[in-house]
Amino acid sequence: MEFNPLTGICLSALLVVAVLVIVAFVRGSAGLRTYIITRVLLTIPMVFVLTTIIFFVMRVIPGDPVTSQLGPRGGAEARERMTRELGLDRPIGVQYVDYMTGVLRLDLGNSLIFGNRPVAEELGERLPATLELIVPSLLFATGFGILGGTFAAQRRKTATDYGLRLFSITAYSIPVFWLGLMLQIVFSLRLDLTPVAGRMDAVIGTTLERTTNLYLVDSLITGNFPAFFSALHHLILPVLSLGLILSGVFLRLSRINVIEALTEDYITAGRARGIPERVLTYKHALGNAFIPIIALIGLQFSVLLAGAVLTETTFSWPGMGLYLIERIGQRDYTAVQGVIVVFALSVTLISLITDIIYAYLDPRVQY
Amino acid sequence: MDNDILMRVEDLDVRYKTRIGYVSACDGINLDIYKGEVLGLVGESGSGKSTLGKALMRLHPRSTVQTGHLWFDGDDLMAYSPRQMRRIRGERISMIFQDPMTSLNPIQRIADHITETIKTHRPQTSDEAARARAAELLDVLGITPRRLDEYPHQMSGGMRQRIMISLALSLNADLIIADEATTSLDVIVEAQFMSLLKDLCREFNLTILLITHNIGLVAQLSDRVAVMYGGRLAEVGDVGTLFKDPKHPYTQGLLGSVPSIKLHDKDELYRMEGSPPDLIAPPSGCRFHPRCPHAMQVCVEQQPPLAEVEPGNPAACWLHHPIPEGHSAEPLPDRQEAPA
Ligand SMILES: Nc1ncnc2c1ncn2[C@@H]1O[C@H](COP(=O)(O)OP(=O)(O)O)[C@@H](O)[C@H]1O
Ligand code: SF4
Ligand SMILES: [Mg+2]
Repeated sequence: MEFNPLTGICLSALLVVAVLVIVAFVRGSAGLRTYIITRVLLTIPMVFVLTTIIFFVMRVIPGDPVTSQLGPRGGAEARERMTRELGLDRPIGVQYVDYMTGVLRLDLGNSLIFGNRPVAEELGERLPATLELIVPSLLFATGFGILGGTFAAQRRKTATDYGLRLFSITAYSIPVFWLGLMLQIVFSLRLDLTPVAGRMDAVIGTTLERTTNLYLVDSLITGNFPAFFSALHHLILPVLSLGLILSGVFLRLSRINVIEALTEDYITAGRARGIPERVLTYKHALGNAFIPIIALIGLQFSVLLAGAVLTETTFSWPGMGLYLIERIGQRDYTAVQGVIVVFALSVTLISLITDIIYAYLDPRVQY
Repeated sequence: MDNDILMRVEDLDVRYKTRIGYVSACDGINLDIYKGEVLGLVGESGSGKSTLGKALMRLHPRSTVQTGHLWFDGDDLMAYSPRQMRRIRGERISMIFQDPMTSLNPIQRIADHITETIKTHRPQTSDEAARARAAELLDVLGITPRRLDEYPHQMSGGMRQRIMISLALSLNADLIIADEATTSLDVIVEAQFMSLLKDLCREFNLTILLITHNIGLVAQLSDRVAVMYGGRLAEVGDVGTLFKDPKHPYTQGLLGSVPSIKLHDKDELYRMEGSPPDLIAPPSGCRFHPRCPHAMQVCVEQQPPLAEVEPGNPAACWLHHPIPEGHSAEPLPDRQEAPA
């Protein structure tokens, strides 16, 4: 298998999992060990089932890759040839078995539209773009949400608290693309402060040497600072949209959990020992509230991916989400299946990681 | 102020705000706590003991109304700022809570509980010194210092309660308030705990406000006892006098000196006829009058003063004080005569 960014990312993800699993094995209980093994093994049937579903759903919905490329007026002969070339003339069962054996060998097949590039290669360009969007968004959302929620909890029933709660409900209920559009209108069109779309200025982009396809990383390791700042500049609005939307739920949950933790006996006991309120809130109460919040990060990850799809569409961000939308439109079966495989793997991966962290943080957890 | 008095509680009122009105959980409390004594505070559940204990450290939230004076070391703690109050807590006055299972932070190691407390009050203490002190405290309480790095959930209830004591002792506080410190322990552990507390009292000359249900514990440990009923003090006295010759009808009931009240175990102690007073709309006059076998007309109309019956033994009961002009000592129609 040829090295591409997708393999690189998969390998680093595997490395992270391996380290966490080893840590859990060394420090955790026997129960935790079996739990982790079960979780890892369960990933396989889950990805299998999801891929199967999407394989058939794509073929059941109206439209097909040949029509999408040749158009409705494409000659019968051309249609036939293309169908044959793409292997779509074979019985569906054969196509299915063929595809699934490929997946088992980590081969995601070739795209069905012009160029017929390997899906893995295309995803190798798209996944880093998505990562570059969601990692800062998640950091922003958790950082802002958790601190905001704790801040509000400490000032319960004050104007600050009501303000932050209103914000959280609003963020929770407005669609991410609407917020993205509003930000574009205000900051890009009216104030001309930020770019409207894309990951990088086109001219600067030509100077960037791409190795990981994480533009921030690529520009930094090559010392290309104009490219770095251009990448940052392009990140602001998408990260703000996705991060703000996502922060609502973190703020809400943190606030509730911290408020609840603040009523616990050990807080009163700490207060009776003269521990300052600030320490009681941010160390003792938040420390305990943090555990359910970690679990939420795992649960919210699929929401984050869905949000990323919409954000990428709004900002023409060339990541997995935009790719997915484009390829669904073109009925590029293999490409869509490839995205689903990666999404499914990353969701299980993240929930496994959060579970391990959870077990590690909470000394009481017994699996 | 008397030199031997560590804390003088003067006209202390505490009222909780609720949707249906204020709960008068402490009403006009006047109480002295002497240096080096163990003062028992007893009374049935809901009589305001915990409220009083927390009030001494001003642990009630702002929504709870607390007035009066808390004279401590020549200062009135009621005049202290939150910051000044914080310095008092843990360092000068500390508290052992009822439930050791929930009073320790589940994600904090035992050592960190103690070192955090020490370093909060004495920031210049080195990590090693704080940890050494923690080990020493555990040792005093008969816990091997090996357990310093354990989490609360790894310890038994009795063990955790000893950790709570070591926390209370960590800065040599002048006054320790122990609120139902043994209630959650089983009988055997409770017995061990009592003898431990007795040793500690002797060894460190502790001043303890011992809030408890357990008359046996009071009899064994206390020098004096304060009896609380319906948010007020009914009677205060030294253990010998009070147990031998209780003045207040409620104390008599508590101690089972009235044959009509049967006592089985500590939980039965206060199962006295009638129900505890509603503290949102407390009974007029003496709050005990609806349940008192000797209630008189005056008891319904006037609050009895907590005045001395014998030296050092005040009781708030009209049976022992001159009845003011215009009121009558006629027993209420459904009650028996006053005892001779
Ligand atoms: N936070 C609170 N809000 C309202 N009422 C309370 C609160 N805490 C205690 N009370 C009431 O105050 C009275 C005294 O309670 P407490 O001091 O806990 O009694 P004790 O410790 O003697 O059992 C009870 O009637 C109780 O219901
Ligand atoms: S004052 Fe009256 S009601 Fe109250 S305890 Fe004494 S006799 Fe009973
Ligand atoms: Mg109580």
